[in-house]
Amino acid sequence: MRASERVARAQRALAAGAAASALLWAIAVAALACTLGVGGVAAGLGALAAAAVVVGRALPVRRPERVALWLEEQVPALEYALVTSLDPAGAAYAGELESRLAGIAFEPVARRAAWRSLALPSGAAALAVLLLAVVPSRALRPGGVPGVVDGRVPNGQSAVDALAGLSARIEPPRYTGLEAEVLDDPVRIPALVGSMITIEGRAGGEPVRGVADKDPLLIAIGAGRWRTRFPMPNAPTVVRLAQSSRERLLLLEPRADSVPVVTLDSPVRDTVLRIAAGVLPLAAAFRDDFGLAEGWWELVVSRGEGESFAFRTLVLGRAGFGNSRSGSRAWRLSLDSLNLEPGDLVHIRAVARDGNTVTGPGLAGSDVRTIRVARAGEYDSVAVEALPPPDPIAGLISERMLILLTEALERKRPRLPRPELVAESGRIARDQNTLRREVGDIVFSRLGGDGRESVRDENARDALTPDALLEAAEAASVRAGGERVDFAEDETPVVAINRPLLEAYNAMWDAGRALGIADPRRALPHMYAALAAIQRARLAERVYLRGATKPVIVDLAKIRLVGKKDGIEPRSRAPRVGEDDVMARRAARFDAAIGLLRAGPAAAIDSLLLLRAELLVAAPAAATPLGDALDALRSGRDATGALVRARRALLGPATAGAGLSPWGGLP
Amino acid sequence: MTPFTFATAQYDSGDWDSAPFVPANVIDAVARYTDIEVTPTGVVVPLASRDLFRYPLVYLTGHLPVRFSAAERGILRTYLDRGGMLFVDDHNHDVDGQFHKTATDELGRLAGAPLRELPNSDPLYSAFFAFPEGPPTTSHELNGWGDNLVHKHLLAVLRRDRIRILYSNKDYSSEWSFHPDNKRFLSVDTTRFAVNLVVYALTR
Repeated sequence: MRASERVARAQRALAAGAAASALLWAIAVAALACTLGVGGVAAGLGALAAAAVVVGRALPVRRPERVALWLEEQVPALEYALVTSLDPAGAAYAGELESRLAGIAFEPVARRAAWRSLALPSGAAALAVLLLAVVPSRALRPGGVPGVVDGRVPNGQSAVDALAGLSARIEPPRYTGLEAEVLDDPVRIPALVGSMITIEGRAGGEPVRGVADKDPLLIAIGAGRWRTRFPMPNAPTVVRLAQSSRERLLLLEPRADSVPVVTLDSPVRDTVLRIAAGVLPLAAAFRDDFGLAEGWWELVVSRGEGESFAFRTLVLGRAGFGNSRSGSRAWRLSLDSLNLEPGDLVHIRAVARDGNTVTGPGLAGSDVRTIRVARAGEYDSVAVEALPPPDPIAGLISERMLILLTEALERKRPRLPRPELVAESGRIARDQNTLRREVGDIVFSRLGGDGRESVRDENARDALTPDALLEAAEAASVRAGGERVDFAEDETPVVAINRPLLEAYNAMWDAGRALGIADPRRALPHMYAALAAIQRARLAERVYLRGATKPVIVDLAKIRLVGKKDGIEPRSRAPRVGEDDVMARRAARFDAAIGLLRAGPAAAIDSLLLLRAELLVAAPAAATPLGDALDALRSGRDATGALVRARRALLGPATAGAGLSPWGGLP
Repeated sequence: MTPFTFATAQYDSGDWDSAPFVPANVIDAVARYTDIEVTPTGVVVPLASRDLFRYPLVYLTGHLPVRFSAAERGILRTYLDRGGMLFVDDHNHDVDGQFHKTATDELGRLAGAPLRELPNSDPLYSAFFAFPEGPPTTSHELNGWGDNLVHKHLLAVLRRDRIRILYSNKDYSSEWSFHPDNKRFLSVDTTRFAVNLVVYALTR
């Protein structure tokens, strides 16, 4: 092969290396531009520029003499034979030169140089592509760079958005035993109070500033990232991060460590002891959300009376729980050891402490049981769960029931032997007479009698016919001078009210007599009449005797506290702002934020986040669905359902009417 | 705007005037808790009179059996059709008493539909004061007067979700029948539910 052909081969190797290098640099620049959130056109231009620089530097490769000179430089053994062979002036020595060049291999030098030229651009391209893969994909979305209002970088700002692609690391307090958690690109950061929160992002361009509520955050920069670290506050707090004119909000949502829950299982209730001796078993159950440290029993013994009391406090059975979340304890309390005296009170409760070393410890106690030692004078008044007092009325059988019994007896009568009929009818007759005497008692008590008709002499009672009762009633309603107490139509009100009962009394008397001779069929009509009369008496009980009342004129000014003063016009009252108005204002803010969702999603999310910060304290029921909605919006999911739930919680369930009130006013 | 006037229905049968202090007490409650313009005295309006149409809420009570005359029935039906609201309270506090039987029968025929239990979540119970448990109990219920039970619901006839007839067995007529000057002795004003009735009748 001739020297000129061999140079051409070296030329092609070097050109291929330059082209590949240009391509790799272009890839590196484009990937880096995308990673930094630069727009697609700018990234393309950058790539072209990089490629152009490389190609420009490789342009001399197109000239063989320059390649030959470069080879002479790389391979001194050529001793300018290669350059001379390409020079037309050396054509006379061409044979000799070719023979000298035949023994020297310079093509591998060109190939190696071409490969070497690819090392740097290959590394750059690989690194840029790696960065592109690591950074969240939303950074590449056109017009959707997080932290940039409306997705556009304002003119003149740094291309590095330090507020995009944030991460928040939550380190719960050590006592909880929980592991650290990292949230990528969060909107809200829920964490236990006292947790250490670290927020970080890419550093670059304008410095990042931050405030939590009104307190400035200390921001450190290192290893190409900025970070801030602070403890989780105990109230919902909005963190505002800003870079140049960009701003991003994060909501810190603190969660409190609950105090332990202690349930006293024994003793079950308060007790009064006659003698303070023996053993009282104590038992309690404990639980906590993260871990119990220890539990114990507390006793307060009080002694004294009146205004003189002495107290002593005892702690028993203190024991650790080893940070377990639940446990139980039992203890046998020796009452003898307390040296109790009559009248002493022992208050018992179980107490537990959790392992909270950051905001705690959380202390909690159970219900308190009281054990009292009775005094000697109380022995005869010890409470017992007595049966309710016997009600003589409750033992009576109603007239309606007597009718049912009699009707049943009448149906069975054809099949019953005579002795059984007489016995059964006699039993009903006795109940009927007992009921009659009760009715008589009521009537007599109203007529001024002693109300004990049932204990009167049987003969005298039988002699008192209904007519005699009516006469007694008339007499009872007339005063000594012959003046009537009150009257309606032709009889006194007392008689008017009592008349149905007197009729019932009479009918029962007849019914009892018929039943007494074992004739239930004849007794039944009287019993029906008695029941009807009792019903009428029941209605008559509800007739109230009263005079006409004076109509009341309500003093509206007095009720409305308008006040009176000559020459001064009372001011009309201004309605107070109700709780509903506050919720209505929050609902209006919610609606305004929803209206922003399409035009400025980042601004809408910030508005909803600020609203949630307020609701976390004021209306937790509405804050929960709003948090779900924020998560969905931030991650690009459908938030409609959560937003609807949040709005319902803000405004209450929707009500719909068929139209305007149907009240039409005057005809 | 015409001030609200509390109207008590007068009907031929029964003792329609058995709770004479209820109007004053309701007026007192409306004036005390709301800015509704209200006249200082109530009126008595015969059910057979077309004057009934002047009043958006009419109160009817009594102890005795109720039977409306044809004229009363006609006027009352027109009143209800035009959007009036009738509040009936059984002064007996009875489930099965004569007033209850006759009044519910009469009202059911009048409205063309039986009285049904009003859910305790009805807007009536949140029209002004919140009564999440439904109608407030009365001392007569709690003392075991009458039938010795607490009525969990009021009865009602509705039209397009609006109450036309509200029927109570709770004996608010006894509960509210005291001179309003004595309200200062109550720890809890029992007439607050009356404000809900008035506000509901005026706004729904």
